[in-house]
Amino acid sequence: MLEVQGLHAGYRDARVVNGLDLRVEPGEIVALLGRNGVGKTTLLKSLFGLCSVFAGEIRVDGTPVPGGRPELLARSGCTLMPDDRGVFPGLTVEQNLRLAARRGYRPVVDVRAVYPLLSERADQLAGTLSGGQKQQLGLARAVLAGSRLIAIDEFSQGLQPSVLEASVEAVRTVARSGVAVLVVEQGPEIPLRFCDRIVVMVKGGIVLDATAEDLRADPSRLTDLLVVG
Amino acid sequence: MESLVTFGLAVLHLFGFYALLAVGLGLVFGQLGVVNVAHGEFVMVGAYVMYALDAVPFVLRLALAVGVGLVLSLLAEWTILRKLYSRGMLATLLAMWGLAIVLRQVAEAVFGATPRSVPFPVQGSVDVLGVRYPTYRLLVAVVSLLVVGAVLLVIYRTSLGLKLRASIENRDMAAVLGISPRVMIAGTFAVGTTLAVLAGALNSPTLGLTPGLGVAFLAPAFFAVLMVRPGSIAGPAVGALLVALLSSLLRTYFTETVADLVFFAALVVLIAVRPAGLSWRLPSWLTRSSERVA
Repeated sequence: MLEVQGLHAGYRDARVVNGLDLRVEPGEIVALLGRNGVGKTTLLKSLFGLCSVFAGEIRVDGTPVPGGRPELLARSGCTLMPDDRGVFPGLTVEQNLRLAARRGYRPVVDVRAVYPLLSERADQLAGTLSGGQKQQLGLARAVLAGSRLIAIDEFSQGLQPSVLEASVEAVRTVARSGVAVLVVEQGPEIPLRFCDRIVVMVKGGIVLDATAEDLRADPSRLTDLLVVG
Repeated sequence: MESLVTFGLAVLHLFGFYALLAVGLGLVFGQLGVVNVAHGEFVMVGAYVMYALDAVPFVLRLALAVGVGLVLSLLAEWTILRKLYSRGMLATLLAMWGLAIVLRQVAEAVFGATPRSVPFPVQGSVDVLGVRYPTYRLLVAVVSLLVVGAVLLVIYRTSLGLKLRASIENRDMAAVLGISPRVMIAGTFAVGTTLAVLAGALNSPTLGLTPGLGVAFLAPAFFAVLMVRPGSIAGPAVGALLVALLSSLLRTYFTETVADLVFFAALVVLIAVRPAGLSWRLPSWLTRSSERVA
């Protein structure tokens, strides 16, 4: 589904991602872990052409992704929830959701059932939601818009435990319907529970790529890379 | 009573004119971050199209003026602005300033510096609450406000308008949801600028046409945009009403020169005091209690 080869990306005078290779298959949930500043967010942004790609190639289903044209990727069913959630503060919750809905695609989970809050506050301006509520709106939009690939930065940010459980379940269900999912997380606990594969970044490159099953048997391989020190 | 009606009609006419200008200027600033100092010159273009094509019936000429406005603005966006967005507001402001000079010079080269006039398509006057008022002026005021209303209706009540507002609020995120930034940028500039062309075309019979006629309209239009919350789309229309009121009031009590002087002094004071625009919202301590219920 998603193939990244030899990617060098970053901002005008800072290369953040250095020669990175990554694959995500349809229906697979891949977690991207790493300490602050290793380039996780930059990698997600570069997939969507929101920062500079210096070298390397990004392909979706074998077709190279045109640089700097996120709308083309979006129309093919790939979407991103950025770390600031990217809600439109001056639009209502319902309008935010309507903008994410794709013609001809209905996700297998009903986001309004997963996040009842979004129906309760349909007419409220998204800018007046709390952080955790914005997170729910951002996740709901991602599920609505991502018929082929959903990339989520800071998946569990601001979510209370019960909502986190519901979100995990929703993402699993969507993935089972064939959508590729790439989530960025700070800690290993949540990804170890529900992701298929875990990828760890250090200094703009990937240092560990293993199935969650293998890592559950030997979590020290993971924690050594994530603990500061 | 009579003087009040006369005053009201003058305000209405100015309101329509400045609402067309200010809504366009505000849209372009909100979506592109471009301070379009050539906005007044597009008014001039509209007026001269009406003069140049005087053999064509008036309503058809208006449509042609709108067409010229769309083509000219799309060309300007494509050839000049597109390359400059990444260089920031100063670069686009200077480029638009240059475009304004070019448009004025072209007008002078083609039509000369002597004032021209466009004949009224509708003669006569109507009785408004006991006051005789030129029919055409009244028509122009009504048409202008209807156009502004229609534009705002599209922006606030249609899915195209929803996409436009999303793109103004967060262009990258809108793109990630499939809304093309290029289309939104070029479209907004074309519509916003063509509103100015339309204002010039509609008002051409009441204007003395000179190549520099647009210069005087820029500052009041900016005033209207600055008087409201920055980024607001409907706000500039309200600002236009305030500008029309203020300008009509000043002209009632002072000579034209003094009125302009006071008006522009007020504009300078406003920019000095509130460079980011005025915010007509309730103070936070009045609204705080109802929020924060998570």
